[in-house]
Amino acid sequence: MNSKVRNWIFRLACLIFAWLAVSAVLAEWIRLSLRIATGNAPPWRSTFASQLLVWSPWLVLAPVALALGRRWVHRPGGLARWTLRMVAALFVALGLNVGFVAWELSSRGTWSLEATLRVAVANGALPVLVHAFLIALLVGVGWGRQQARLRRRRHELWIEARREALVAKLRPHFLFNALNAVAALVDRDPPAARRMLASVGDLLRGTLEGTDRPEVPLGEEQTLLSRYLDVERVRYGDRLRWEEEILVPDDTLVPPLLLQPLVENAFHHGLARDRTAGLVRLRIEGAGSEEGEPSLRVTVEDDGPGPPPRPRFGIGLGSTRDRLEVLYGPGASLRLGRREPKGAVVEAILPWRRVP
Amino acid sequence: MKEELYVLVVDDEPPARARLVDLLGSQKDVVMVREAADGVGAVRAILEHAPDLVFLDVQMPDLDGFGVLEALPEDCQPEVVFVTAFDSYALAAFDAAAVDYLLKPFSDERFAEAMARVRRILSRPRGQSRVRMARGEFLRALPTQGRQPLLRIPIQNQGRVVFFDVADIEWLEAEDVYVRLHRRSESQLLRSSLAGLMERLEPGRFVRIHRSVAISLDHLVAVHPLFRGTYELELRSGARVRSSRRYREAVRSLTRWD
Repeated sequence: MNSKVRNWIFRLACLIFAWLAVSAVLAEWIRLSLRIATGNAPPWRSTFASQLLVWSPWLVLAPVALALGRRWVHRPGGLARWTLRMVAALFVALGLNVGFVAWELSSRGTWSLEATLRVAVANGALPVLVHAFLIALLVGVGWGRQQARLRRRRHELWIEARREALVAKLRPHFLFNALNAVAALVDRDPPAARRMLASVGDLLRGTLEGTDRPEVPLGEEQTLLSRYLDVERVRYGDRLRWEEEILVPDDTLVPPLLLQPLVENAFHHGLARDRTAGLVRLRIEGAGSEEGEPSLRVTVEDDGPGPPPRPRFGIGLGSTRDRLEVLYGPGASLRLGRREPKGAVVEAILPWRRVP
Repeated sequence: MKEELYVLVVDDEPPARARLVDLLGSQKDVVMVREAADGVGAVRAILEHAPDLVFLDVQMPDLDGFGVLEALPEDCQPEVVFVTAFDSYALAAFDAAAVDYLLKPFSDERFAEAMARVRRILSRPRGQSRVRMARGEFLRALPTQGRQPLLRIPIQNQGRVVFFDVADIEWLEAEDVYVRLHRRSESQLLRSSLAGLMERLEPGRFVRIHRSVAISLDHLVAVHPLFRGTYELELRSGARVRSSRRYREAVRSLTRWD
């Protein structure tokens, strides 16, 4: 027996169980309320049987309603549209009912507006309520599933981003050049050579170990960044002009491996490409946003050749942008622009959160 | 065997130069060591001092190691040892254009080995160096992909090499087997095909608007429609260049915001 057939049998069993359960509960409910009202309950068996009969159309209708609901509700904005549809359906059902009841009553010669409406609402409201209940069930289950799916996807992207950050950070070029610089320092300045080895080691450790936390305090990021800068300072010597302006407290939360790739990007496309370039400037500040939610602005500038008029995002910036999007959705952005008079500016905007 | 060696060390990272300068200091036959921090400086130093041997970093700002060799006139080609951290190009290909290549970081022994190879080659009568002969061919066959985009274009001009900043170039025009590089009031001829030159420039900076014309987006100020899908593109200096119908989509896309 394949899984599809098993699945269908399971669904059918669920449906029948729901039918029996609803009928039983309502039968008991009716008996209870009649006993309270009249002190006298009808026999269980006949009440149950009548409820089974009342709910039997739903054996067919429920799967149809669920199938239709599944089609509509899970689309983006589907719930709102479905609600509108349900309200419309309610009115249509009431209208049809009114028509039907009016016809029925007038054929009996007992027509009156009040009686018609009363019977129509009594007849029409129940199926609509049952339908709404079914869809609410569906939405609830579907929403839970969707959340789980989203969480899974977030986790996947996070792992992917870590892998990419790892590859980007272990940019072989950077690593081998750093080791070569150590080789030069071994004779000329042994303590500096040891410092450099320690920095390279810290950097590797920081990347390899990583962290499972989606956000880390800014202070931790700065430590990793300064290890990276130690290495670049030795490589570029006096040419490098590093400027930083951190206008937010250390307990600001940022995604791990946010700063270093942005700064490395400036080195890679600025200093490494243009012999007259030397400036790398990091600025982190709070920035209000249109919705009034406080946001954080991280800008990294260089005075290299600047991006072409139609830039393409490489691995470094591309994966950072994807990561920001997954973590914060539309509340975050990453922009690459040109700096006047010369160079590039990368600006990352993200929600400003602090260590709780 | 040559008694005295003039050596040039080219690398954009001071510690990398220091490492080679230290090693060269212990070589008895090396009488002069000069340093250059980028490709343009390397070309100038080679033309001025005619070193016997150049230690040449491959990845450098402005003009990479291969670009340096391309820029040099044929009668001024020194022996070369490539020094590189990591390259996706086939490392074996370096053999075609250089005496040897050193992978950073390298040991003192590996350096000594490279020097021994250099001495062997220099001890032969001048002009018999196999690698220098094959270099032109190697450079012509070099894939442009993965190479650093040119920021300064070296142009050989009667034994001199002048450099043209790519950022200053307003438009490029194919002329025969040459490309004319236009900037403000002057222009220069470069021996290259337009397509070949475009491959060496950063993608996204220049746009082809005619079979024989490409313009710099940095210098574009206005697009004037003409007739039947042709346009006149106005550049910052006031120069106006006409596009052809075949490239109308390319020009049209320039006028859109997305």
